[in-house]
Amino acid sequence: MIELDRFSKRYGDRAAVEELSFTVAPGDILGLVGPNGAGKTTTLRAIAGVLRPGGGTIRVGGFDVVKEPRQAKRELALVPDTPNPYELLTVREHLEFARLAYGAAKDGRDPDELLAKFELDDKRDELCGSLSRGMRQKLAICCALVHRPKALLLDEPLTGLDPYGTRVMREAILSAAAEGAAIIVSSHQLELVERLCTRVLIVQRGRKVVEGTLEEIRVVAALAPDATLEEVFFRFVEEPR
Amino acid sequence: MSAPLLALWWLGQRAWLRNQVRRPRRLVAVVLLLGLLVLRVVAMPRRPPGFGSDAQSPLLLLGAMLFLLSVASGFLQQGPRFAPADVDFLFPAPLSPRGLLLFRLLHLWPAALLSSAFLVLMFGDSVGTPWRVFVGLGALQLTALHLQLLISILLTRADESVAKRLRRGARVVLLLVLFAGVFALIHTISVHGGVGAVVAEVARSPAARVLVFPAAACADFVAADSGARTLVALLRLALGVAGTLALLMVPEIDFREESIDTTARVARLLAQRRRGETVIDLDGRRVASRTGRATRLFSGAGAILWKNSIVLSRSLRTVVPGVLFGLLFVLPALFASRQDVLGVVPAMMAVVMTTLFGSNSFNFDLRREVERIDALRALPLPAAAIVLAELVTPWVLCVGLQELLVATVVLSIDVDREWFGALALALPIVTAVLVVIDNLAVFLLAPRPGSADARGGIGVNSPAQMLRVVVWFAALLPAGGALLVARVLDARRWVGLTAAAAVEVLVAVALFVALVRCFERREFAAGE
Repeated sequence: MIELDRFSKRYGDRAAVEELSFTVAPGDILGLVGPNGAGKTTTLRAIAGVLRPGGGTIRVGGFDVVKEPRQAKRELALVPDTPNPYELLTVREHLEFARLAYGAAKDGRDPDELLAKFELDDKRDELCGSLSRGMRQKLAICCALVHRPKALLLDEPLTGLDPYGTRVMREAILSAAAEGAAIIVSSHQLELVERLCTRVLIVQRGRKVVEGTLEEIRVVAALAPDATLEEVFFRFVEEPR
Repeated sequence: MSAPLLALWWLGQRAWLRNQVRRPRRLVAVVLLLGLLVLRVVAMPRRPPGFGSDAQSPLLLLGAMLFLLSVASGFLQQGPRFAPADVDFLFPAPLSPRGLLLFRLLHLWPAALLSSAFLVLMFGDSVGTPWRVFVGLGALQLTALHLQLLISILLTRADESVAKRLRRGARVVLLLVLFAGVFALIHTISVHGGVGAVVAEVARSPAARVLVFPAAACADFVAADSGARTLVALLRLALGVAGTLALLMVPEIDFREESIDTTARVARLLAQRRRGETVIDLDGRRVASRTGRATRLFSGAGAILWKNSIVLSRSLRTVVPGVLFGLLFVLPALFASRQDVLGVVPAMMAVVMTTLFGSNSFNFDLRREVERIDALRALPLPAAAIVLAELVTPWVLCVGLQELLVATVVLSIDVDREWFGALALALPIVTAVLVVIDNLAVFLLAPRPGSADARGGIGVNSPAQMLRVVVWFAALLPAGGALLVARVLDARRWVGLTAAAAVEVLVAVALFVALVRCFERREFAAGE
């Protein structure tokens, strides 16, 4: 479970996020969409405990990320938009590092199984510095899944993936949700969000514009029942000046 | 070369200059640097004609080293390196490889001449008449540059595997030269009392004069005591520059395909260097994963230690030369130490100074994590444990090296062992202070959110390197103060040393707490 209650964050004079509240239940996949600079990455980084909230509270698995950071972080995993793996660790060592650092050497997922699932098994002894962007993305999600997180945060997870990788990634997200993880996917790929997510949250200039299932927000937007998320998005989001 | 390329070069130079001047921090650095250079020029003594004949050997040695290093680095590139923008925009354009090469040379020639000017300002007046040294070294550097490019272009005709083997060979040779340099230095200092006599002997050999012909011509030009000798040496220098340029332009080899890879590889390495990381060239390396049972001993923050030890073991070919290069400056002072107090002090200072290059060479800590701070912060571990685990590797390695030096000196030379014993005890604290300061710089010098700059720590060539030295000395002042107070109170020596150590431990702890706070709270610019 991920709960945000009136979360705010400022960078100097600029408000990145203002009074944002939402909840992601176990098994739910929330699509976080919005134009550039809407505060999506800031929100994800704050949930992951990387940024301190300027106001409001964030709870992961019932733990406050500010007051009980270790317990909250143990429950979650963040896949950044640009993964930067350690160049001189091999793919397999990278997974081992994630497993050890999260204290999941015994009860975590089998790294070799994960590598096989994401078609990285033939790269297991390759140094991460020589991986392509798509492979780095796959490695990042493998590292995220290795300790069986109850909350999964994905920032632009499909960037750089080939069609096969996209399908594998989509299946991995669905299977993590089926196992009961609360998932947030931040993406500009509206088609992906439409196909993958159970709920959608549109943000603009750090504020919530609309939230709900696609059907619910179509109604709010007064659009036809077969309107795409793209049409809904452009109904709510102003054109950048 | 075509007019558009010439115009592009000129626009690039102008933009670079404006960029330097418009940024306040850079402007201050440039003004300070220019001030120092002007001071140096003003202070440079006027030399009589013919001065420099005594200094021919050191100049020949300097020239030979510059020449060999520059030419050998040609083997490290299969196809000359360009700017990434050149690859994107000029390579697809209807331009000849020769035109592109000249365009590249337009960027490299001024840099070579500028570095010659710097060398003159640093050593010029001690080895000969400054203008002669500049002409000699400038011609030498241009010749070496042409040969370097020629080698890299000819390598494009070689098979990829052959080029890789040559690259590895060149690296091994460079490493061996450094090793040999360190041992030769120690040997000549201890046996001959200096390097001059030995170098002069080697420099006079015909083989050396042929192998490093521009260095020999440079030394002859600087030391020439008659018009005729000056003219002959100058002609030899000019022939070197023009001849190698002609050689470079003769083969019409299309190097572009190989240059794309070289440019991308070098751009990545330069980016690492700018971030202050140890530069690592993966170069298609394959290794075996180390995920045996022993890894289970490392959990939680220990995983960071495990990870850093693996990264260190795979970085030895960049770490070892860096350490050897640093030792070149330290060992002479160390082994020249004498029994009396005045003789011991420089040796002790030399050991303390190893902290400066040691901390840089063994930077397997937060300095290499600039791009991964978020991932570290997201770990379910206390911030202090993460930071401590990161600091362990550089601290252990640096202190280990220093204690080894102290032990070697104490065992091989008859010196005051009490002083060196106290130093051995103080080194862990002194080193810890600098390692923490270096890590603090990652956070304090990084651009704040909203800044257009990328993240970054202290680059190896950064003016911040000077700043770290100043901050380190300032952080050691309280210990000096404690020693002084103990002396004023007429306390025993061990009381003063203990007080100084206690004070410095407190300083180290305070700095560590500040580092942990920065790790937890300092925000970098990133994302939306």
